[in-house]
Amino acid sequence: MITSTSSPTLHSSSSSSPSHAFSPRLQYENSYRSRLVPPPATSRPRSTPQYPRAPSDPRIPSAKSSPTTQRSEAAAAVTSQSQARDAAHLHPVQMVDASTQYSPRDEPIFSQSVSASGVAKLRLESNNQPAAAYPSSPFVPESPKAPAIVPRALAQPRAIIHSTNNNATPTSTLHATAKRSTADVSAVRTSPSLRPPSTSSNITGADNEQSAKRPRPPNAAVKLMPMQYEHCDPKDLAVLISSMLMELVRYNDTIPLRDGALTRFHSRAPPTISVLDYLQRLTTHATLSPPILLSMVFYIDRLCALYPAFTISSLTVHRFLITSATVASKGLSDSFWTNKTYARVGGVKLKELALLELEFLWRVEWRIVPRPEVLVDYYRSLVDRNEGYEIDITGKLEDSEASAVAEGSISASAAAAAAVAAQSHEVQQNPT
Amino acid sequence: MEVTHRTTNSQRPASRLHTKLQAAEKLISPGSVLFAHRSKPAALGPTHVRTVSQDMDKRHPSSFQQLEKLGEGTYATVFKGRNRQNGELVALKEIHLDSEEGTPSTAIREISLMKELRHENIVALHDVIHTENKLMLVFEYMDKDLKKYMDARGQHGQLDPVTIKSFMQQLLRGIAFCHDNRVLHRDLKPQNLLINSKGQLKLGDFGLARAFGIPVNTFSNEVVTLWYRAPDVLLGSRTYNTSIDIWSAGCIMAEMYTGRPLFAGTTNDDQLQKIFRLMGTPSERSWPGISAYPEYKANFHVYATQDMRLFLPQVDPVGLELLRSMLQLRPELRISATDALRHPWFQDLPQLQARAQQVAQQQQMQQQISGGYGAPGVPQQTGY
Repeated sequence: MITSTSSPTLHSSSSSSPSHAFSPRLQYENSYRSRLVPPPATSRPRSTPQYPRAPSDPRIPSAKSSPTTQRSEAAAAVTSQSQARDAAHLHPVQMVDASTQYSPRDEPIFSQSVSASGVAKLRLESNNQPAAAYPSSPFVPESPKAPAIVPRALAQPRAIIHSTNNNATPTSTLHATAKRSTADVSAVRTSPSLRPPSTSSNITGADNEQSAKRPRPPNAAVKLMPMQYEHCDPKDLAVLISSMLMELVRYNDTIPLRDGALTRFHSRAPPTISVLDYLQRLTTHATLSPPILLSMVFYIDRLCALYPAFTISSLTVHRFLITSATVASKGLSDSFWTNKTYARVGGVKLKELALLELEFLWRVEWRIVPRPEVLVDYYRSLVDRNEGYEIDITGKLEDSEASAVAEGSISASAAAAAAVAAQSHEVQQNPT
Repeated sequence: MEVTHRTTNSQRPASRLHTKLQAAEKLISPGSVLFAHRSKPAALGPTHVRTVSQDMDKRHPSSFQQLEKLGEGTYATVFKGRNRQNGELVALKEIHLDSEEGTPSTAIREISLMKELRHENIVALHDVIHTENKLMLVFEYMDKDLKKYMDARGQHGQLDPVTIKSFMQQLLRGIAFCHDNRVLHRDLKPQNLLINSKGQLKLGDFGLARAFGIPVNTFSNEVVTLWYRAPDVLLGSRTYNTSIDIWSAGCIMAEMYTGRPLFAGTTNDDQLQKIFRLMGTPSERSWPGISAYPEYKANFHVYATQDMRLFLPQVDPVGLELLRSMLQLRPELRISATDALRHPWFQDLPQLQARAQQVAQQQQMQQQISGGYGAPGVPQQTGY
């Protein structure tokens, strides 16, 4: 069954606060059920990610409960915005409008076209598959066309299977990255001026991705990543993270699953959607920012350390990703979606997501706030280990120069200025 | 053949690993991929490894006897409780879980932040108990919140100067600890400050709090109860920082002296006007950049700055100086919690407290009743 998910629609907010009167609200109209469904290719690029927000509420002291009532009433009037209503009802204060969440200057702008074409391929693949292969699975069942990922026999691991796994999985990765590179090209063409500088070199970067695991000439072009991870394009980060995840998966898949070591994160069979596509999908549709993405990586280490039965494998990686994305967004950011949206984007049932979320929080002992240095370290390492990417050191130089000139000025603005300079440079190169 | 990388069973061929620690190191996780050739970040060390069976499941709601309801918050109900094992009093915060929204984000924040914040001026979270459809947070028991305390103890809600100084010191210590640990409380008000019978003040209700160390640059400006909300937030700032908690602390200090909230506005605009009426209307000259704030209006009614001695005659001059530095309109001029604690106003606190204690002891001897700061009572609490 294919339900076409409409593009995110902008609604005007029901807020009475003048500054937010025109804040749009993003909404998925159609429900998302058992299939990962692409938005139509025509969907318009989101220039600013929008978040559901609660009607403004002065939070009058000692009347904590009455604003809640007002809120839910006000929100109930907007019947179509059901997930916004739920959010407003339960967490009125954290749900804020997104109008100022991502300022174009500092924040990368998500381009719909990347995932649109990426996921469009996914749909084609899924069409060829017997949906009944794994009916209870929220993920798309494994494709017969892609024997790359051999489903691991749960209780009877055999050495042959493992070696097959080892040899075959990289193929699927390359397959996935090839898809991504096509998507990237179109993305760059669609809105070059809107893209943050780090992605402007996408064409060359995409080539690198394809050959990231192969020996390659030392002087090949590399994609430059900004010094400060908060300025990088989440899509680039998603590529780096999924490449790292695939390495984990390849390794961990060779370790046979012990009987009874199933966790709530295990699928019965590996979902067909590649890790990269899945993470890109979450990044785009659940608007995951770089700090959230890096926190998710941090959570892998925490979860593995505290929960020995858990490893990142082809069976667990998808559920891990949607769960950690949900928890990180809700726990660390002031703007986040409702669980309904996360469930829809991640292709899991709402009820299952609630269970996964709680299980996750339990297992990491509720300690979900990473130390800032740790995220910086992860970012550097992710870039370092990937041959196609490098930290933009010139950005740092310009940054320090700029701050030397204007003493005490905010480094972010200097970095942004450097980024703009870099961008114009990159754009010029692109037509070649 | 089964390979057990994940057990400590030494009979298995693959497990030369003798401890959980080693087992965890062996596990493949991002740390092992990313930091293969250098030391892992400290936070990822295997020190986190606990025994698998260390459990949560052992703890059960029935280990607490549920007593009377203390209050009802936006997303939770707070009960007084007693630990059946040791008779200790606790506050039980029950959070309903529904499958629609999963775990409320307020609960995720409160638990994750309070687990990291252990300080004598922050309410201790002892435990989190999970049942089918609810979470139960077990907090240390506190007698009442500052609001109730003021109503019950002070004359018309006013407190005596020694108590105020002590409370302010404890409040600022709690705030400083939060800020040092990169946490903004974002909802400081008398109702969220809890007082126990020993005269200790602790910060509670971290449902609006957030970590600010990670550059998740999405700050909500619908934070802090209106009366205690800083002018920069009222003006629509989303880049605020620790200084918003200091503003709230200043408002609380004044309120302890007068028994009434310093700026009791009804709307965002009214709140700003009430602030400007006393502190003076800021202009681009007194506050460069103010016109860039989203809520800034060029036609703000222009008020002159009032002399604080006139509207807060109860406060001594040194105290007024501290208060003035906390109630700076411009966030960057507001004093930090650490600096505020070094303010000369706090210097004579030990002597004052010793003297107050002597007086209290004498009274105690005379009246043969136990005194201290807090009268035992059954207050309604909202601050957990």
